[in-house]
Amino acid sequence: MTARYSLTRIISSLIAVGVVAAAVPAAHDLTTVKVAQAADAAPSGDSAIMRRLTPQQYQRIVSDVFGVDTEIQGRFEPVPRVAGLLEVGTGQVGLTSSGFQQYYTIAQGIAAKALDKNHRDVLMPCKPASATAPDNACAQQFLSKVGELLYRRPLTQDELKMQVDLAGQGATTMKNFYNGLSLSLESMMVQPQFIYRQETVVPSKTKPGTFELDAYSKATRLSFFFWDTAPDRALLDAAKSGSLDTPAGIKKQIDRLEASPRYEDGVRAFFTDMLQFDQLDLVGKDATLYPNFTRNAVDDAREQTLRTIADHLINQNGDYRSLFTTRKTFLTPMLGSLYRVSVVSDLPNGYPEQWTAHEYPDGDPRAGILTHISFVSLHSHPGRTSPTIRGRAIRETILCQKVPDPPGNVNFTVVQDTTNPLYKTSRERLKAHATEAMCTGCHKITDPIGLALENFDSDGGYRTTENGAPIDGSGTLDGKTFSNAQTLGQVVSEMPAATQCLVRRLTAYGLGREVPATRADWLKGLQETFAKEGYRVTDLMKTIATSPEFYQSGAAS
Amino acid sequence: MSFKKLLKSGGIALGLGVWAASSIVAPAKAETREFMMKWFLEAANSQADVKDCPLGLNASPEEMFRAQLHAIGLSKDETEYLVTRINGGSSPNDVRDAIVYRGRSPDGKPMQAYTYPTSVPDLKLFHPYIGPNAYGFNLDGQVKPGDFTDPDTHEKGIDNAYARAVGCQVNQRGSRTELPTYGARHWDFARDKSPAWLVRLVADDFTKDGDVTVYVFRAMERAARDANGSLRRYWTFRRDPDTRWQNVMHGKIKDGVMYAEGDKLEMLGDPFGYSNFKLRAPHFRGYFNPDGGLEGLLGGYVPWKTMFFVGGSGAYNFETMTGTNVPALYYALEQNADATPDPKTGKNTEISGAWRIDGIQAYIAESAQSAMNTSDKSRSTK
Repeated sequence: MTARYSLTRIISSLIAVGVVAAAVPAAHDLTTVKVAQAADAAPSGDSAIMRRLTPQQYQRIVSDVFGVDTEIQGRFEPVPRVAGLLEVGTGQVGLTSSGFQQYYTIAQGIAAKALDKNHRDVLMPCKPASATAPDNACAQQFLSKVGELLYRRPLTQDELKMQVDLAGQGATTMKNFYNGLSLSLESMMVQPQFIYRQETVVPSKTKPGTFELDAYSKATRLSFFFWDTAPDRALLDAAKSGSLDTPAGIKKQIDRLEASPRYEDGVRAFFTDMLQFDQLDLVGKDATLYPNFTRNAVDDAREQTLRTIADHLINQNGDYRSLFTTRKTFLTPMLGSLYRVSVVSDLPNGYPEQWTAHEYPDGDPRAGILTHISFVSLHSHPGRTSPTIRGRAIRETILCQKVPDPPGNVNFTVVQDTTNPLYKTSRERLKAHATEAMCTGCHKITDPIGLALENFDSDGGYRTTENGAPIDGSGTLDGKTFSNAQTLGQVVSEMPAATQCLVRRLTAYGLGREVPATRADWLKGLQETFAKEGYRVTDLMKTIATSPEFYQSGAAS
Repeated sequence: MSFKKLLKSGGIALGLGVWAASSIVAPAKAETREFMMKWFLEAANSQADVKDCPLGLNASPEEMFRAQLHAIGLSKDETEYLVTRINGGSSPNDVRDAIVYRGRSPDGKPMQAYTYPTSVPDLKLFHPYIGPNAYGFNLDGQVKPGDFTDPDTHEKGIDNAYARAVGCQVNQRGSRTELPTYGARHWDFARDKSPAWLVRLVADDFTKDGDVTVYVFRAMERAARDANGSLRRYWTFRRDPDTRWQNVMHGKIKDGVMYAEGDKLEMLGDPFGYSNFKLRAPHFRGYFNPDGGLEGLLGGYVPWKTMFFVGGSGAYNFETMTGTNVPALYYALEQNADATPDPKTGKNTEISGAWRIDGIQAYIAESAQSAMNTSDKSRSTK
């Protein structure tokens, strides 16, 4: 049994007993079926990979399809970070009953707004013969148009018939055409075809005996990779025409996607995931120690780094490695109060979010995104810094190196006591802590690089002393010496692991899984091309997306 | 040592400030520190034993109302009916009207007590504050009877007639660590909705004796708050270019304390506070606290009616919620005014006073362009 037919019965039951009452138990069926389906994936045209939409992707699709003023009220279930990426984790999550209920509640709100009097005339391609009775022809026009954008492929005849029937039954029961249509819209938005990015594989036309994504799945993979949203009409048309089955057709679409302003959304989404900036939502600081670290400041800090990345990689087409050394960034007055830099907004009071280009002068301790508030505050404790956490973050997020978790019986007393007069600085406390044999090994990996960032307090503010003692930021990273955060950035930028990590993360992000060892040669080739092209991320993304490997089925391998 | 003595001892001519646009920007090698006024309010130095008010503290608001209502002819019962029903902004209409119109015209008709405070009998309800200590400056260069001694500098001849007028009012009493609620309420209210007041200090080296220039500006923006609800430090403010609010004082640094004087100082504040604060012969004294903030004192002569309107403009709600009797305040200020007699009436139009300035670190930008691409470490990072 497929999920589609299971849902047919569910939707019938919605009509029979009332939508809300039936929606929650339906989730059990949905989850069970989809998980089984994924496990049984086979290269026969069935779904091979399913990734649940992230909240940002869901929001973008809703805005694209129904209008930018449609806001999502509610939160989705969390996704685990796998292989350093939530995007990989989205391929490994099911849906609980309460999670389904949340999707349903959100879908109700969106459908109601999309079809209210203020919006329906824009969205509807037709007018019903009567607003108080079913009109299957008009409903079909609307549902096939919207359904293709939501499902990222044309609806099958069965799917369309089911939704049109549902709209008709709803219109009859409620004596309102639009309410009936709204019911169908709600139902489509809780279907796995919408909530999950389903990818379908077919036998390869160019390499007999192998399998690859079908055209619509290619369109979906491309669109989410470059824009972090569902394919637009042009991409769906390209899939329909068969042009995505040719390298030239794919290249043409990639060029179009990259040229769009929406490309920046895709780049931002990737780096948000790679740098784990979703965790910034959970960051809080002791307000007594760090009074300027407010919620708005956190939001600005995240935006500062993403804006810096987007400008450097897209607008300037800069070298990826320079992100760790660049002195150019963007600031708001809010961030200026944390960085202690004069930042002017010429907007009236109440609009402090105005962004200003800023370049730190030579000799300034700030250089590169590792010195941004976003990075150092995210990887700190609420009341103090943590060279260990910061060092681990650089190892794991920037260099793709795994740092073991600490054993469960570690005594952290010495590290946590910032008032001990014997150990005034983090370096001194960690040195004392590292005398415990079980700790020494890992701390050697993390602490030297984390200590380079000690000039930046837990809130990102600059400091030269801790408890009156001078801060020493010097150390070594895999044999390369540095004297402070500035030179650490230089060392990181020159490490092959940094660029290799980006290639590894970017491919995993696009594929929804890490590239298997059997395709190590592809990764190696990408790395070589990346280097040859001066470490330009846009070029790397285009190289990845034009690779046949990007569309080959996981099942086939 | 007084500031004038300090200048004389150094044989240095005092450069009284005359506003010139070119003087706003510090010389290239000078050190600049910039602040936003976290607090600007009367500098109080009240004594716990109340010996500074030999007639005792001023009566309670209810007692002042009773006295005034009785004086205009209301019976005891009528007076009690009104006074016991005063409830701030929630007072019954008849009570509110009776209090608001407790003034009387010569022919006995009710008059509004706030617009026409002299229509309420002068019952000398504000007791004199005699000190002997009060913050401030020797503005006239003389040591006269009634002058105070500054508790920090121990300088005699301090002119602070404002303290004499209101220093026995409970809500005007306070100290360096305990702010008078009267001024604190005004400033706390104003700073969330009115453009900030700014101070820029310029010197070659603040750690050494030498010249200092003190600028006082008005910002284009109001203050921002931090996670604790306090004012956010290191915020960037644009200087309001209006020529009326460009104030400068010149002076010296001596042993870590800055002294400066100017011709005049004018600021625009909140309509219900220092709506138009004009200070003649401004004097400044200040130093940096361990956090790098500014602790300063500003003194001079201000039109006494300005100080009246700080309270009087709040009218009934102000009177009943803060406990400052508006007609009584009017009489106290008028009778203690100590400078600049009106040529026609001979009555003094100005009153000497002193205000404390607590400054937190800020940036003052001349324009969006001038503040871009700069990270001058000499600016307000101490």
